[in-house]
Amino acid sequence: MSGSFLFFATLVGLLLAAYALHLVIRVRLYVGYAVAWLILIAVGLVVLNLPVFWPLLRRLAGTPDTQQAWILLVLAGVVFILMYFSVQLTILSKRISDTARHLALRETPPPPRRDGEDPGKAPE
Amino acid sequence: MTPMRPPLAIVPAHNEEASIGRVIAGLRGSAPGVDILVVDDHSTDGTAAIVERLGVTQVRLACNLGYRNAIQIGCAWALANGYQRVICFDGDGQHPASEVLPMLERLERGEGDIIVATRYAQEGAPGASLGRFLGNQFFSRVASRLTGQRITDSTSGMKALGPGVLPIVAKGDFLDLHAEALVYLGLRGFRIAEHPAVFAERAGGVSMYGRLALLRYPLLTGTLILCSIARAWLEGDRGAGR
Repeated sequence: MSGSFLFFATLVGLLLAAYALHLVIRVRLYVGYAVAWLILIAVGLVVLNLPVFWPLLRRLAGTPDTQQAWILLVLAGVVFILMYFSVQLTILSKRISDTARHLALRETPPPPRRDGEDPGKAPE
Repeated sequence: MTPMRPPLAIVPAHNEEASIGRVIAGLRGSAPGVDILVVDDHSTDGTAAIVERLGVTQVRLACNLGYRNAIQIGCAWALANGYQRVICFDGDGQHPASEVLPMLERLERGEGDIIVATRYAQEGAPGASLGRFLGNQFFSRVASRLTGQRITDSTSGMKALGPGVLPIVAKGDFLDLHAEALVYLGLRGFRIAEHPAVFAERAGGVSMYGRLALLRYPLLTGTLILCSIARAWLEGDRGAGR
C-alpha cells in the first residue's frame, strides 16, 4: 500500500467523520445514521493503518493487493449502509401513507343510510 | 340486525375533472343500486368540488399516494362500513358502467372470488399502445401460467372483489393491483373469472403511466410477482380462497 494512498484515505475518512459529527450537532442528521457511518469509517481507518490486519484483508477480498482489498471492503460497507437507508426510507414512506390513510378515513363520513337500515347500529 | 350493504363502487381519481362527473352519472344511471365512493388522490383541479357537488361520498387524501393506495383506502373504508362486495372503477372514464351490474351479479353467483373486466376476451381485440399491449399480454400469460387460471388482461383496473379477497386487497403489498396481485390471489386459491368489456379512450387528465413506465413497470411487476410467489408459498395455505 502506498504512503500517499494511506495519507489520502485517512484524511478523507477523518473529514467524513468530522462532517457526520457536524451534521449531528446542527441537528441535520439523526445520530443513529451518523453512528452507522462513523462505525464504517472507524473500521476502515483501523484496518487501513494497522498492517497486522492486511493479510486478513487480502484473504477476505481474495486479492493479492491490499489497496484493492481495502477499497472493495469499504465499497461493500457503503453499499450495505445504502441498503439500510433504503429500508429506512421505505419505513418512512409507509408511515406517511398510513398517516395520510388514517387522516382521510377519519375525516370521511359514513355512507348515507338507506331505507330499512337501523340508525342505532354500526355495520358489522 | 344490520341489513347487508349494497355493493360499493370505488372510484380512484387524480385530476379527473374532465371525466369524473360523467363517470358518476354513468354509474348512477347504469348501476342505481350500487353505492359510490370516490377516493380523491390529492387532486389539484376541480375533481373534489365536482364530486362534492354531486353529493357523492369521497375520501380526500392529504397527499398523492398513487393508484394502489387509493384503491386500498377505498377497500379499508368499505370494510369499516360493512361493505362486502366492491367494484374498482377508474375515474378517467375508460370503464363501461354498463358492465358493473353484470360483473357484480357474477360475483354474487359465485362464479369467482374476483371478477376482472377484460378487453382481450377475443383474439385480436384492439388494445392500448403496442408497448403496453405487449407488456399486458406478457404478464397476463405469466399470471395465467402461475395460477392455472385464464387471465387475458392483467392490467385491467375494473375488478369486482368479493368478501374473501377484500381484506387481502385492502392490506396487501402490491404495485398497481395488476398481475402481481392476481398471481398472489390465484396462488392463495382464490378463483379469478374474466368478464368481457369494451373500454373507452381516456376522456381527459393524464395517465398514471408516463414514458418511464415502459421500463419501470415490467421491472417492478416482475419483482413483485416473484415476491407474490414467495409470499403465497411461505403462507402455505393455497386453499384459503376455496
